[in-house]
Amino acid sequence: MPNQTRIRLGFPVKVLGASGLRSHDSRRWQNSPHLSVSLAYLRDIFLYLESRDIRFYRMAGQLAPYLTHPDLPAFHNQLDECSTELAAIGDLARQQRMRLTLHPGFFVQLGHPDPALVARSGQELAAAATLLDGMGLDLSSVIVIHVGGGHADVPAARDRFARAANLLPESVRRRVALENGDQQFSLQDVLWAHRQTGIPVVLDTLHHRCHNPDEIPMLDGLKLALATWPADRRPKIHCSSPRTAVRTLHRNGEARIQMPLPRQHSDFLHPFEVIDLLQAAISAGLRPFDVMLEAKAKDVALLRLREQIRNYAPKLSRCVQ
Amino acid sequence: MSQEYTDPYNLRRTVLVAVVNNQADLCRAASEGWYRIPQRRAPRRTGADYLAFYQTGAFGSESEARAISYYAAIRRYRLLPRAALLPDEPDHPRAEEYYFRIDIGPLLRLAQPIPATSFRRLTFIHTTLERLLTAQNVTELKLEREPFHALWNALRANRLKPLSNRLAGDWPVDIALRVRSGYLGIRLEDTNDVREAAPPDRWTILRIPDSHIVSDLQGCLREIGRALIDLGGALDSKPGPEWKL
Repeated sequence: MPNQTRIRLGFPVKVLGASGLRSHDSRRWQNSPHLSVSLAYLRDIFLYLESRDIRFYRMAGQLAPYLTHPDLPAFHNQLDECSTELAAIGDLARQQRMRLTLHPGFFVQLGHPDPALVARSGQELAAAATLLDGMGLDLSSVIVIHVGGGHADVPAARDRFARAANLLPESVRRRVALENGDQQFSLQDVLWAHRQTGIPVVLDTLHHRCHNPDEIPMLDGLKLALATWPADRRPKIHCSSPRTAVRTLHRNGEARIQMPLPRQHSDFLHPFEVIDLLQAAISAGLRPFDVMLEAKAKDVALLRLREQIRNYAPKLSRCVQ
Repeated sequence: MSQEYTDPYNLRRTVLVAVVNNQADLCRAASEGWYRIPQRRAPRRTGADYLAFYQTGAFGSESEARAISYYAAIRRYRLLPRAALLPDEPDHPRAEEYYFRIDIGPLLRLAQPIPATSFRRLTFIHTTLERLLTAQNVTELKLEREPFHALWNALRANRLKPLSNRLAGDWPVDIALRVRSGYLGIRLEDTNDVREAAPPDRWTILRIPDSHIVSDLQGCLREIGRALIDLGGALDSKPGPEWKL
């Protein structure tokens, strides 16, 4: 199967399969962290990903530390300061046929009732879009966001989101994709937002299982989400499995047993669920898409899933990268 | 150890150890606050919070020769052509090539310099601040699962007796295996190492990129196996099951 049509498996941010690989410069502001240091880390990660034939990766949301922090103006020019380095890392990504995405922090909430927070969210998205543009990445490199909090009135929050999204500059909005939530903003809600804004939908399969008031079957949900993406842009989905094991939590010197919560990501993916979903998508003739695996074991979970697909679904494995 | 580094958050910080073989580069790091690495020959791990300097034997009789004595916090990485980095050398053959310029803070002296007690060839080492502050020997800096250890352990698992830190004439090799016709020397390096020299008599040199070991260890073992067969077989293999290559 040609590489362009194979389903790329990806993972977010942290690399666990090799020691000492950092996702970004996480030093505190007092120690002068810098985007260029994050980019040096990113280069090292890309070389690792190449060695593992991983072609889909979510970069750290804090790649440029304190970039938009209102009280730390010394950090605001990092994108300009690193234009050469950004272009170089973008070249490397293209050379490795790597799809890169971003997922900014949860404070990015275009649907929030506080206009100041919405404005700050817009700044953050603009900075993220400038970073991706600076790397010379095409529009498959998206910034995935949530609607935000419902604040006891989901339709009103949805409206606020659509209004704020439509006010974003085109150069920013074209980079944004919207993910369905696990407690509020179901798939139908984000499809509504798509109709108002044109922003494509990223189906999160676990969120859909946790919050699916319209009882849309998974394959139908996948079809609906994929249909929101322009023909020239490859869709992506998020895939994860719920935690099913008890955990021991330690707080204030006391240990407490916590029963598994379905919304929490498990360490690894349930291989048969993923195989079923991908096989169903291929059988239904759905357009090619990429899968961001949200598992605690990160790249280790990806490599294990790839191996499991090879063992349990050899035909499918030829369609998966 | 200073109070600054008792915080475990700081101890987990990463360090890139660079090899310095001339006084000018170290002076520049101390006075101008930067160090350079050619992009073409950069190690697979360049990103770090700190840069430390291993001073080679070129520092002669100084007490700092063949040891790490200094390190500094990394402030910034820049990608620049050599001509921009060193404007006094515009006609250098590599003037157009790009280099990482690593801006650093003031040089700090280690309370306990780290000597290299073996003559294993040193290239860049990626380690943690904790190890830098506690190591007694350069070899202790290496993180596990590095390509050298992976290949070394795989050779041992295949009942061979690899020898480390050998010199083939003036040519240091990372791993040597005794064969009927002499030695098979294995140099672990990425293909961007451009040094060329003919190996001395009785030595055959095999170059294996670090990246190849990471991505295809079994393939590397097969390559070594073929070389051993061509050279008449390994002398030091231990009795046991056949080598499965």
